[in-house]
Amino acid sequence: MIVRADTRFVVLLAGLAVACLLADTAAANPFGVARPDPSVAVQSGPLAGLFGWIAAKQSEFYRALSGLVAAFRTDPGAGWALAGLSFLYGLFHAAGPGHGKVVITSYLVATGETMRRGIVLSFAAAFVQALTAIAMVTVLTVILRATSIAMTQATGFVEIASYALIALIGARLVYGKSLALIAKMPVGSPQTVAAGAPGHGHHHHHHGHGPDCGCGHDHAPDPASLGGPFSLKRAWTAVLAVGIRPCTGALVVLVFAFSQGVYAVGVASTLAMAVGTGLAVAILAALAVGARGFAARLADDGAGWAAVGLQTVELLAALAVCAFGLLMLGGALQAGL
Amino acid sequence: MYLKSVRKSVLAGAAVAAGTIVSAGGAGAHPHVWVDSRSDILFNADGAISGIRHAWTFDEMFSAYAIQGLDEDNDGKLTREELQPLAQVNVESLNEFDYFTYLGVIGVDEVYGVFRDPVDYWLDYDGTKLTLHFTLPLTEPFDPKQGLTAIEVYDPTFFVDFQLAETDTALLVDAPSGCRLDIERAEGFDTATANLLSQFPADVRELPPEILELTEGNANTIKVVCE
Repeated sequence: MIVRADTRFVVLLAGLAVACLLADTAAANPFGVARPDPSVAVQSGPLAGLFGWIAAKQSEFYRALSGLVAAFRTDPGAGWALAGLSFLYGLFHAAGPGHGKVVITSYLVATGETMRRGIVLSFAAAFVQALTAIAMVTVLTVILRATSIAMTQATGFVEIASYALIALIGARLVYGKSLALIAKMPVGSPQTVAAGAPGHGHHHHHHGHGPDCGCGHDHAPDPASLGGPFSLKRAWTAVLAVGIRPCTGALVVLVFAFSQGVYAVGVASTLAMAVGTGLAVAILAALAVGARGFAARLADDGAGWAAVGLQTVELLAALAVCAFGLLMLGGALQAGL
Repeated sequence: MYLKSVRKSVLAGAAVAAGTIVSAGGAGAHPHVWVDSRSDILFNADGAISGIRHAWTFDEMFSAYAIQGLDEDNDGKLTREELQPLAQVNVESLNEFDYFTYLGVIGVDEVYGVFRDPVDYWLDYDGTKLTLHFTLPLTEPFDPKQGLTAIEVYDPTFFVDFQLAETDTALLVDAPSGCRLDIERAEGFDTATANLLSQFPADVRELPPEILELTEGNANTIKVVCE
């Protein structure tokens, strides 16, 4: 019974690793400007319809946004509708799979943060992402009057840097996981650990599959930020890692607002989006924190060899992160940037 | 989608090999760009189709994004010269996507036209929207009498939502008498199909047959009927 539960956990981990690898990555760009935000679709299963609906809603909101930004020039009353719509756009944009929320939730699973801190982190990450978009458009478009072509190239360079970072983080994870696996190899007969035994060593180190899932997007937490007690410094590493790549939808809305002479409205809209995004991520974060508690109990019930199985899966996932980073880096460089 | 081509299959094969790992799932379920499409069908003196001349009008938000920083003399107007670098980037990027344009005989996979790189490409801006003009010459003239000929303009992965324009949708230029056009507009996708299409990376141009069946009726099809 105990072993079966562990087997399920290993399968779950493997599934997560694969799902992360297939999650959103750079999409090609048919018109060469306005690098698209990739959105991930769920192939099948009970959630496919839901995500399809979310995607359809997001598209509606996105189109309606342009009308409201333009309307604001003549009717400031459109401001409330715009704020509401921006919030919904952020909510629906983040409600699909992929993006930085994978990193945030994995970070929480890996570090075992509390529910409350998880929610704070989720909102912080969403606002960093919004501020990155605002900073980028303010500097490149408003001050430097850079072209959309230059802006696309700038985004491309950010992506290349983050792919390189993913490869590096993957390599470090591989190193760490290898050491952990060797240290964990049971000597002699499998040792059984009493369920819930206090103070046994591997409780805090066996659930590091989280950061491997950072492969799902351009950002992954610094491995130094994983594990150990909560500290503001560590948490911010993960938050900044998520915010490094701005949401393209926000970039386009900001530039559009600027072109309409209502840049402040674009900034307000972007911040409203962040509230929606933060809320969606916070809900997922809360789920992740709950799931982590459940998974930790399962692993604690396991025998020594089950723990080795977990470690092996973690190592494979770390290898995948590294390979993923290199593949994405190669692809981005080949794309001619 | 009535038209398929060998070339597309080859491209798709390469794209799947490289793309499945690199960009699987990254297509985007929803359109990010909306395009109103107009197309002129160009004929040569022998009554064969020699190329397609497109005029694609982009949605307002994409247009505003794309033109930023291009008004070099800051006179509030965008000349063709100022927009030319953007036009260049547009057509160069479209190459990978076969210009979203397919020409062939309906129901016969082997008979299709192959386009050369675009010529006479330029952008104009009406104050709110950009229109990309470009001509796609065929490597060899295509005789429309060899079967029911059609031109399709669409993005199978629905990243770009192409709509045939309401007016001047398609024109025959220098066509022999006895030729006419028959236009079928895309019906749009239901949510489930749109979601399904989003599974495919944006650089995969060939969809599995069972998926193509689902998308039947969503191609913007311009049939060229010559008697």
